[in-house]
Amino acid sequence: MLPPGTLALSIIFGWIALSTIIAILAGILKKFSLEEWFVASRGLSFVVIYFALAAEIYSGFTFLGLAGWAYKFGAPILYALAYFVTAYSVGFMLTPYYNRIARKLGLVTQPDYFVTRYESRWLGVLVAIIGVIFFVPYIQLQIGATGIIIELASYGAIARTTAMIIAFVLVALFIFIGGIRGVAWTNVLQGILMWIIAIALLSVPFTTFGGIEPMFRQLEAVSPQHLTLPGAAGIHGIPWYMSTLLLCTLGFWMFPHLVMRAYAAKDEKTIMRSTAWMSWYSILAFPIVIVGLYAILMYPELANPDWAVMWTVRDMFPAWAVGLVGAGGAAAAISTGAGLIQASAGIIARNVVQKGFWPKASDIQTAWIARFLVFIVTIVALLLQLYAPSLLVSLLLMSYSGMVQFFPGIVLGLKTKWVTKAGVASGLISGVFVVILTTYVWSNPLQIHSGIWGLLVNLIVTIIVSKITTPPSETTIKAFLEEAATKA
Amino acid sequence: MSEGEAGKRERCALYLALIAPVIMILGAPLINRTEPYIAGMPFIFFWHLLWLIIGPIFLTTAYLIRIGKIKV
Repeated sequence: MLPPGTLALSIIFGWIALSTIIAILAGILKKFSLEEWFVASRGLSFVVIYFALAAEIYSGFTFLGLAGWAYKFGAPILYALAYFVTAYSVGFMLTPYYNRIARKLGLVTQPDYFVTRYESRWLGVLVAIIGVIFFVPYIQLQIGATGIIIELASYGAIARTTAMIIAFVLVALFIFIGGIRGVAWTNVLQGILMWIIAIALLSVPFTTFGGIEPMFRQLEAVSPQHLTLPGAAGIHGIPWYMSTLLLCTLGFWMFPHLVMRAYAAKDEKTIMRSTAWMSWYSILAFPIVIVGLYAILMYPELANPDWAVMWTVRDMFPAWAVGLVGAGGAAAAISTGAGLIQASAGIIARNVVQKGFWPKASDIQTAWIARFLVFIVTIVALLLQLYAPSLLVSLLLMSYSGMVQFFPGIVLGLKTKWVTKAGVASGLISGVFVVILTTYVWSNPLQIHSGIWGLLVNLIVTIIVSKITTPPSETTIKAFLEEAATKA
Repeated sequence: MSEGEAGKRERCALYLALIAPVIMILGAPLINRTEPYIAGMPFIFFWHLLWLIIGPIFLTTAYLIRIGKIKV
């Protein structure tokens, strides 16, 4: 009999190896080009785009963080379950436009949308830089989650640092070769695994307490504040819940990697269908929240709340199941990380290099730059995780708040004629500035989330500045508004 | 198919898709309670589980309306 750690580890690394091979195969079977590497030649079918989105959206945070938050704060985590429902409604409305406009105007990244709509490559550079700054902490978070999962699943046999390095070197390799297609195919594998795990986790309270209700009743006796807002810390009241839910609902489809996935779908019907069906996926987050609450009763003294899922699994299931859950969790973190890395490298290459400082770069040169940037982005994120893990936690706090600042530029660009590049740029900058103020100087005034304060100021500035500056050319406006209008 | 019919389909789909966000955000002050327990869980947890199921039903219906599989 193998030691339990070895078994778990062989499953996890077997999984990663299999993903790498599939991704590489998916990549080398296609001719390398800008459109292929960035948006899979706009040809991803429903099944692939569905699992690609699912695996990118359900990340290491879904696996460890949801339970960790439930463990630490209790009911406030329900905001996340709520936005897993509401965000898809917004996606259902926005993504068909993304897909249609990108196909017609040849967009391959999210900042491209701004470059084309506002006829300004420097606005594209600004959007790209803001996007990537708020992105790097997310990549780092995925790397950290992978480390925790592998360390716990191996029962301490592999140190976190080694695990992180091995896993993400492989990831960088498969994105280098496979681009978005590689990312998408590995995610198909992960999607299936996550469902199995969620169902298995649901059995835990039944085995220990004989049902959900006895568990909740006991929790009510031990820590009633975990069961309602404002939660165990007392800082997540109703205004916080409402504003955070609004923030995530509006901000979700602003994330550059998700915008790029909408471009990669083979037509607008496919992406609409994916977002509609994706909403069914969210239910698998529910058992994970339950496990977080379960851990409050079982392990009241966890040093790190993010361990809740892995501790529960180690106690309740045999070693092979630990391997499977570890593989699922690591795959979740890795696939999200891969998508984020691919998008960041793509955005820097396309919008900072090709459309910014080196306009002479051809498409194929840009694609090669993006490929090599994959390694640089990975290395930077790894180094930050290894040497300054707390440095970026502060940025992560603002990730959603930062992303939602793209909302006025994208939505006003679809619906109005008068919005201008000066308006969008000044709105964006003032929005981000207000987010920083309301995160660090006055933290969430009136318990309303910093991102919403930023968005409010951003909208006002965008409108005022747009009204006094000149909008882009008629042809551009027409191209966008026509695409946004009803189609038979 | 006339432009008007497509427009009507799109509008219906839009309203249907908006139900979940509007109710979930604006309903928050009303659902912050543990009693009554339903399906073995405090009300606020049950409420979220409920929407994890009916939200997708609305959205899938919206999609089917939008592509014309369900007539409006």
